[in-house]
Amino acid sequence: MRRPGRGFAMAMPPMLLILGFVGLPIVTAGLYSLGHFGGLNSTTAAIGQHQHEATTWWGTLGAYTEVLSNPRFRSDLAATVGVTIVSTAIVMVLAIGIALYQRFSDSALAKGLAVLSIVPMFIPVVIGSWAILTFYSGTGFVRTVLAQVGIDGPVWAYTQTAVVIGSVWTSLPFAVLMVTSGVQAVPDALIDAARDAGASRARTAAGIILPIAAVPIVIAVTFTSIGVLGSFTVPYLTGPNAPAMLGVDIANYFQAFNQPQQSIVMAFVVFALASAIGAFYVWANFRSASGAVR
Amino acid sequence: MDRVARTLLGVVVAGLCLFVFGPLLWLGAHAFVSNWTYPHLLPDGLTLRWWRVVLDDPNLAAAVQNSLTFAPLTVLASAVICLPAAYAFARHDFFGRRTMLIGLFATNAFPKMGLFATMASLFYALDLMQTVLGILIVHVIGTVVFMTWIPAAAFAAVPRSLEEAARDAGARPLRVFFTVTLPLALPGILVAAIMSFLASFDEAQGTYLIGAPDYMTMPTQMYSLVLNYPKQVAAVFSLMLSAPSVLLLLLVRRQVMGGHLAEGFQIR
Amino acid sequence: MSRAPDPRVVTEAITPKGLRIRGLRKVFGEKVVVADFDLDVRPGELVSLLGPSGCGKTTTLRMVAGFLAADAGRIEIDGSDVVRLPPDRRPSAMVFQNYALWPHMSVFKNVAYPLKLRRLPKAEIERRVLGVLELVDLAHHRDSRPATISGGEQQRAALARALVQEPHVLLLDEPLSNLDSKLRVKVREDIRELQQRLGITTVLVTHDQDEALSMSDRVAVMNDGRIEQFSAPDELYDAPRTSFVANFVGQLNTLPGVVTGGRVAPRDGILTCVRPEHTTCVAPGSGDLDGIVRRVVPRGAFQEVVIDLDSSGDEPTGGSTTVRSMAVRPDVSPGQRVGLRLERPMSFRDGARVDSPAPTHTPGR
Repeated sequence: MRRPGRGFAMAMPPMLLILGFVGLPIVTAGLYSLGHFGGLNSTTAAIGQHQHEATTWWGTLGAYTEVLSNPRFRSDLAATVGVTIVSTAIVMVLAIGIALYQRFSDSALAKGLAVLSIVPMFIPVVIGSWAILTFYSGTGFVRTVLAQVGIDGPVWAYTQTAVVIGSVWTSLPFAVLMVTSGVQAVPDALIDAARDAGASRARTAAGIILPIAAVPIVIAVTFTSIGVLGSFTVPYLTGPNAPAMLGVDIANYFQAFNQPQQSIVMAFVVFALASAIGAFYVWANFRSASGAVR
Repeated sequence: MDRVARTLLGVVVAGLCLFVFGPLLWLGAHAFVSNWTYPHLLPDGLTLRWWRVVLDDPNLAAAVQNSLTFAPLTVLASAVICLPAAYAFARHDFFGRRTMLIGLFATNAFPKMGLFATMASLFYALDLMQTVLGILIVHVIGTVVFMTWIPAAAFAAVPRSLEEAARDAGARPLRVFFTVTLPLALPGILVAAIMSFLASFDEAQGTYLIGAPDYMTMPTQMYSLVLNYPKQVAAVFSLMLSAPSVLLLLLVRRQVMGGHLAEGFQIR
Repeated sequence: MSRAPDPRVVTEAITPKGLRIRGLRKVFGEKVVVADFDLDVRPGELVSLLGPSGCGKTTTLRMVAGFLAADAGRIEIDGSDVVRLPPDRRPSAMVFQNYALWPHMSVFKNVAYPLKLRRLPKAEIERRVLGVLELVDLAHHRDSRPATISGGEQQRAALARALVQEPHVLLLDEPLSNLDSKLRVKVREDIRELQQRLGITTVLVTHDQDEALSMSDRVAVMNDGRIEQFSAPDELYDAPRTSFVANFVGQLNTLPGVVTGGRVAPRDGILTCVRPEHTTCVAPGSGDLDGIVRRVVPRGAFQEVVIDLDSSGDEPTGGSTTVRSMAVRPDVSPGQRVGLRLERPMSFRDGARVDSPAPTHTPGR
């Protein structure tokens, strides 16, 4: 029970699985992106086109310079970051609103709203995306209803708007669950004390509840933005051909364009962005663990 | 003032309802119509013939079967691999514990599509392409975070005094685990299992890359369906594909809402 | 400078009238938790609501603070009815049982928060917060987080946060229940002293009779959502009007009948009650009743003697009644036959006092 070795051994199976099937491929992919074509990379390198082979002992940045200077990639990157920021912002506003409403009102409506918002978690993403596409398409529900009153409604299918709608739709449940549980965990007495001190509900929410629930909120922001950043299904089904989200680009360059090296480089760009967001999450967790909050 | 707030709330709730359910209902309705001509509010006619198309297609039936096999298998494999680790993270302090917990998180940070692209060469080398094991590995990897973090938090939340009381009453450690710790942590483990089931059931990109065309699951089949069949067929298939998870939602809503999920995502 | 018409800002203009509660009522489902409750607290007075858990005392306090909506009744603070106001607009301030200090703010920020909400100038906030921290002897912890200071200090920080609001009514919800027993005695004296010095109208909720008796000007003993008795502490002890109050405040020997001719005789459901400290051991046959000493329990400053009364033949249960006597060094030992002298007996029927409750001492029998 107290032997540290046993705990370490028990933790090993998932760690080895991750190391072998995620860590190792990422490392070899990293080497491949630098132009090392041997070993595990030989199969991919044999069929890939437009590859940059290592010229020095550590490799070459040829693939990186090519991708990063590609104007199409740049506009795709900008679109990806833009969609991520907008979607995350909308998701958080909705999630915080729903969580606070539930905290202040124990009506059936408040509970119903929370249940409603987690429904998309149980619908496969492919279906959600497809449903959203048809709902906002040229012959979809929105335009059909507006046509009844003589308005020519917008066609959002295959636009960045549809990607944002789809991303919000699929990300909402997790964010609502995280934020709701964080907000519910704030003790009643702390809220009563603020009300007693003269704070309105809005002031109580801004000054007391949200700061105390900061860690779950940061977690929700992190996972939502990382999820949208690397998403494939939603933009693939609902988004425009250009500018495309990077998740779609990675797939296209790998399969359709047969340029695996460029595809990997893009994956690493997304990884770098996600890691930066991830660092924020780790920082927030450690800050809370060190006793600053609670 | 109060009336304004009330009206505003009503509009927001109605809007959210439409936002979440609208697309699903719109798509679902298409499963029962012969055709829907824009801009008519009502469909041209009702029919069940699209269901026949789906039910008669052997490919689609196979996909249903594959999905319903892989998802439980994934949950089982993931539980066996991850639950001991979850317990260790909750109750033991060992070298590299924090690093490992964060390392698991890194699997989420690397874009899935990029990961599958990079995994492909390894799978070729190990001869895992188009194998059940290969698909299973892809699915389990997608569940490791859920199956480790959420149960770890659930184990950690079991008060040590309850375990100590059982030890004091004369139970050996393993008995304490099975009679006290595990039952108390079960709701959290159940949530992890549900999340894993949904993740596996939802997984399309990796499965397609590794398993196609031998092993098609419902989501991978959905991609080709969307491109090759009339909208109504995809609608029928969507309803069928949603059924198991919606059933799950109705069964376990309370557990998922109970905060175990949120608890699990805070690294301690 | 224009200010919102906040009742607390215009303190000076209002003649203090204290707290006045009339016909307050709260029902949870089927259960009447607070029933037609009346209470008057005079300006500058400290009144305790004392009772067992579930008696409605906390519910009453939360209705006064505004966290619970009253089903009926009026709550007047200094003459104006606040029963429809939300908690943030009532001129009351509360000290919570677990202090409810906001963990993400320093002690200073916790105390300053109510003043910030009132949009006071920064310098004035600083002055008033430091003043009140000085008052509760916490100035050295102004920048500490609540989690890093001791329980007693947290308690004082919570008190400071309430006092800084200069409330018309200070509400204390079991403020000492999380402190250890030594500290509790000191803190209750500190609070009482501060309350008297500042002259704040105060309502204290507690289940601890020591706390209520030692801190209050008057105590309202509550049972089942009603006030059983509302009196000064001494009177509560000397002249309880119901057997519930007699039992709850102090200890009690209960005899199933009236004491006559050296035995306990049942009569019309009357119970005779005598406090252990008014029960004295004397020579056998020379007191009101006789019995055998079962145990002598050392209690430090005094001893508690447990005596089995001689069973009387016509007692329905046939068993013996046990009484307790408190005395300093009683000259008795277990197994010894003793007589008991009962002073200041009280008679109750159906819980109500049937002899005249005498506030003054009537020695002997």
